[in-house]
Amino acid sequence: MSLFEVDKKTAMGDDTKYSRAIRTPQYVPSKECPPIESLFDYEKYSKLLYNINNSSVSEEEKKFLRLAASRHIIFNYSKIADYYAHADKEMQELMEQSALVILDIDDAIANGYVKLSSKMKQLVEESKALKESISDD
Amino acid sequence: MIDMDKFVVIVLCHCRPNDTTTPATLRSCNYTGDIILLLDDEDATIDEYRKNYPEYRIEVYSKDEAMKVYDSMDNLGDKRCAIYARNSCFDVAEKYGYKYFCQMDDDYTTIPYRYIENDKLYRNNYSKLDEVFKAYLEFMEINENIGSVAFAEPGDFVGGVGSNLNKKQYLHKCMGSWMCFVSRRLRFQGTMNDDVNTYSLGGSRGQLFYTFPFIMIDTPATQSVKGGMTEIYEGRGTYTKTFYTIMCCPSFVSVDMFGDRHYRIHHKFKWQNAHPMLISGDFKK
Repeated sequence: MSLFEVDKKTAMGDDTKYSRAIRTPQYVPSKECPPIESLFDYEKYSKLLYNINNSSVSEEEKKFLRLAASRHIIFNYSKIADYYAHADKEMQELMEQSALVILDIDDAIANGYVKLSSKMKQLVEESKALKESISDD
Repeated sequence: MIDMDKFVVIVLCHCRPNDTTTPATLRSCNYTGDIILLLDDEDATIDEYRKNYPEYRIEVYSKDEAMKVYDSMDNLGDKRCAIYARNSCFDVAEKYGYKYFCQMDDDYTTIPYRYIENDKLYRNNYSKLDEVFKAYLEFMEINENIGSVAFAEPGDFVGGVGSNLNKKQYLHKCMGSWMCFVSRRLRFQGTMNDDVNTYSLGGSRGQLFYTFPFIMIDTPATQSVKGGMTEIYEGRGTYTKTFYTIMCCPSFVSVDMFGDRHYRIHHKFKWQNAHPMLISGDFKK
């Protein structure tokens, strides 16, 4: 990706309606399994590798530069999650070990978020009542 | 089970002994727990802090020692950065037997709830922080991948009810009020943009960072109060600041213009490429 992407933008976008219906922070994988080559973009990485391989720096330096070049690989994490949902057990376990997806076991985080939202809603209602009672005095 | 006796708010202070508003703000928002003011040993105003805030523990860390350990991501040797204090919080909390803490800057003026009514965004300053902190910690306790959660900032609500935070109800970032578990140590790095560097790098490796819209920290306009990080930002500008995060995560961070009429250089994330997705465990075979 380019380092310079200078677009003017508006904060509202095209959406001005708001609803605070609880949306849990889980991603729902697609029913379609994406092709594995769509999970990443290594164009810049390839260019860097080409330059490194054709340079005159030492092998030790090349080794370091190759590892560092991997930082430029762009991973598409939603497609990775889609792929995970269709992968076999061994592939899934390897993906988990590499933190390519985060598993919400028993939907604990999603449920925790619902609980947190409810608690905060309760606290806000209490504070509104307190504010009104102080205003009445 | 969260034990609130093991929780402390650590306020990062530097040379603002007469303008440290956060402790009083916390008390006014019904926080009754412990507060530590964290100072570095090169702060010439330590005695003034001791005089002005006798009711709080004043903890002083060695900046030179911290510099040996933490990565400034440059060779400038500039000591005017937050990473030494931010990282030292974990040591300080552990030293006094705390399990959790919230790391805050020193200039917060109010910490109001934010809520929607009749499609309008409101604020209410009658917050009960004891209960809010506990609720946030209980959420964090659920999964050890949760690195931190934070209160929102005013900028998160630009656009009012249509702001990105209000629409999504969470953002994958933390700024200004880091709730932390001592056992889940974060590694703040970079002379500038250390907070962004931390959640972007940690997030890309599977740590979860959240900002929720329920409550917000209020601060003076950025860089309007002397002391703290103001001078370093005025000196180098946000262009340099942005590049620290690009160094961390070049595959999904770029330079952008940010603002409305008055634009400034800022980092831009391609969130799709920034962090792994959280998915239901039901998808595991």
